[in-house]
Amino acid sequence: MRILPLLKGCRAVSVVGTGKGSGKTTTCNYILAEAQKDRRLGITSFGLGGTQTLLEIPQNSLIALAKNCEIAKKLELLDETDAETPWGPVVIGRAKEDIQTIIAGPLCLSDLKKIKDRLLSLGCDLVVIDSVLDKKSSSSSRVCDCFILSAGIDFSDRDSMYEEIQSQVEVLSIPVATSLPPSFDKHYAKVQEKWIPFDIKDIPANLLLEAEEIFWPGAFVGGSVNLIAGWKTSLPVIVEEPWQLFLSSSAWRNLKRDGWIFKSCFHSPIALVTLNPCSSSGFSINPREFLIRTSEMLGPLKVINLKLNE
Amino acid sequence: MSDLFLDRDTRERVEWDYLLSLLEVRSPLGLQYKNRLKPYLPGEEKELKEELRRSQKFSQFISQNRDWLHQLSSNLQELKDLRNSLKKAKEGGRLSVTELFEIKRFLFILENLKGLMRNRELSWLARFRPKGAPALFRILNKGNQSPQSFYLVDEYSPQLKKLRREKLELRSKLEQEKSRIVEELRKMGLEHFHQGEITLQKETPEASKILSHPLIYLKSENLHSLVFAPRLSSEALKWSGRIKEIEVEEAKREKEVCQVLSRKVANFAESLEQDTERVAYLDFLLAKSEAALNYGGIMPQILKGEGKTSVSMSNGVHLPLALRLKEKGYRFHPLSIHLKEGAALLTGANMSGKTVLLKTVGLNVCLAQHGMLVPAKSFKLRPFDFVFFSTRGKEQDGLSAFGAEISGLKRALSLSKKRGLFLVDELARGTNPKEGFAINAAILKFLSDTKSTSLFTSHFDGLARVCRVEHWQMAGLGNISLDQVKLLVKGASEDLILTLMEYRLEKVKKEQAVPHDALKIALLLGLDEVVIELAETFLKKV
Repeated sequence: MRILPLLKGCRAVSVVGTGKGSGKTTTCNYILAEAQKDRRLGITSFGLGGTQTLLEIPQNSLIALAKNCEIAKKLELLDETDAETPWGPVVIGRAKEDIQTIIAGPLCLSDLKKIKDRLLSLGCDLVVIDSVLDKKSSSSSRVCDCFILSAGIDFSDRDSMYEEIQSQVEVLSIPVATSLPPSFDKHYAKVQEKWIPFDIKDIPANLLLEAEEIFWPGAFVGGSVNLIAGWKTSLPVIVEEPWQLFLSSSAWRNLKRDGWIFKSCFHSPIALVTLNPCSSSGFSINPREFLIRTSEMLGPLKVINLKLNE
Repeated sequence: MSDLFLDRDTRERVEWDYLLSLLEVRSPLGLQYKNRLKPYLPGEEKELKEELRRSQKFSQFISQNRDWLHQLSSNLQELKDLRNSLKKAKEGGRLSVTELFEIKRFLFILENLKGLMRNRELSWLARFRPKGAPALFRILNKGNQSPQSFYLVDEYSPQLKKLRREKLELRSKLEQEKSRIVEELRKMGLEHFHQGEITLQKETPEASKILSHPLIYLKSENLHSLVFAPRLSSEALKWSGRIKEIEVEEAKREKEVCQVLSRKVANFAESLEQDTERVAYLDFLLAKSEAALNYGGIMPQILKGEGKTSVSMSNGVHLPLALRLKEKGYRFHPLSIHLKEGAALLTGANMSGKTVLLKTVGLNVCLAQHGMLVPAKSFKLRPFDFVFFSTRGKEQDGLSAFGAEISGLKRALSLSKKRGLFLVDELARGTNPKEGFAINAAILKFLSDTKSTSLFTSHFDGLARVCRVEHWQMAGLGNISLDQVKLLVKGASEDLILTLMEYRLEKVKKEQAVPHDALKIALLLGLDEVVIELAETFLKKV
């Protein structure tokens, strides 16, 4: 099963995971191995990547990593960026040989974007971003053209595992809004095609009745619902990007049940879902059953088990 | 910044920090230079004039050479502060590969800056042209490297070269061996190797078939899967072991090379530290010259030695306030004043701009004494040892606002043997008027007999006469009566006060009462007319 055909036209791909041990780095390694012959690769990590499985960097790939990473001496150093990390600023270098390593990359989205852009400007035609734990913000359209969701089995029970995967896929693929607010830094309500800013702590009464859509700046968390509890529940809530919905699977299900609709201003699509049937603690589930059930649940979305090549 | 020249409160009151924030340095070196900026004091007039001349010439140069400015700016942006690495090298420490890379990049940028500074029109700036270290750059650029990249190339050490070559050969042989085994296994239908491993689900025919195959071994397993890897020949296992040994040896040799290169860096460290100072200055010079171009700064005239004139400002602007007004669509009314050694009094209606005048004088004196061009039509200055601004502020250190005001003044008066600039805004306004008058008169009198220059604002009548000091007055609302204001205020907008107020300064020749415009201002600010009329009645009775 090849991944690259599923990333057609994509110059930057992020690999995000459902949690620890979900197989993000393994997925990155499959992409790197597959692409090394015919793509000029750039690699970075959003935070400290490869702590469970080492990243396997092919010779001649460009890597963006913190200055004090031990592996920096195996690189022909090309550039130093102003992205700061606890391990020093991020530098970019070319791997002089095949390297297996942990890498510490930028810690904030704006730095990640700058580094992705720099890797592309240095001639890479595919930038692969490995993300830490369950950090979903690297799925932002600011840093990638599409992303891969790696799903693991580190959940308390089997049913909640499937629910969690399904809700994460649903959240990350909410539809794109057709009309955007003038800025993304305040709350807006759309009334008769006009976006009207408002203070969430003092919502004008007429907006409760007349609003057709609302825009929610920043993160939308479970508690955010209480602030707009008096509104019509069928009112679509627009966030800037899907990853800004920080909702547990149960909160997501409850909102859906109550009729809430969410949209995003921008998004990058999910290219595929990869599965890791082994937990970080050594526990495993039947890979075939995991694949079949997840594929059925996620409908047309491509789901693959890389190790079993299914 | 010297705390003696400008204490924390004065800095805040004249908005010196806000002004500094308008100077956009490009590098951490420029930022450090800005943060430790020092004023030129009396006795340093020659150096101050030179600095101001550089600011003026550089402003002119960059205004006419935009491409050059862009190149300089982009090079400065790339600069890092490498003084810690240089210190480490000087102390015999071993620099890491990334530190050596940073030094090479620094040298590359220095060469670019050197080239830019060779411009014939900048010969007067030759003292600040970086010297660079081309010899060190050549050492760090060994082998077939790009001038901006760095790698511990084989050319640095024949042993390193030998080890790397051997490692490469062994790795290649090992890969071939693995590929051979994988190829054989593929013939048996086992297609999906990744990085030399294959994972199979347990209890499948494929898994059972290869479980005891001689070319493969079970590397790991869990409840549902088996992971197999090629079984290497004993010779290949030896290669693998040798690669590990080489890697240890290679790391050792790399450290040796880094140590040798660090010693080379140490030889140039002092000269590079000097260059660091030069480019830090250059960055700051660019920032202040560019800012002066934006605000239309002029070269102040620096007066030397004894003389009567202390500060003479024509059409001076308080930049932070001017920028805030501009944002709201208003214009700053430029201010002019001539101050001599001794004390002077400034009176005027509320909101007529007395405090703004004090702040404008204070801030522009600071600008000039720090070698920066001044936003004015003309500006003359005999440098001061310090600038002090007193105003009724907030309670602090357990003292009331009056207590804090007097305490600040006490500290400044202890420096009265030096040449200071005292800017005192409505001293003792919070205490009873009789004593307040007496305190003002006493301090005015005391300061008029020192080498300092003082400008006091006050609403007290007769202060100038009692102290026999120069008297300035803001025109304010002097040309409009209360009755005229009453007529105008009906249906007027809040901006009326700005339209009516005259922010013009007049020298008071004969003794005259301080302006009594508080009722007009209160009316313009919207206080009920009934209250104003009552106040008028009371005023007639007093």
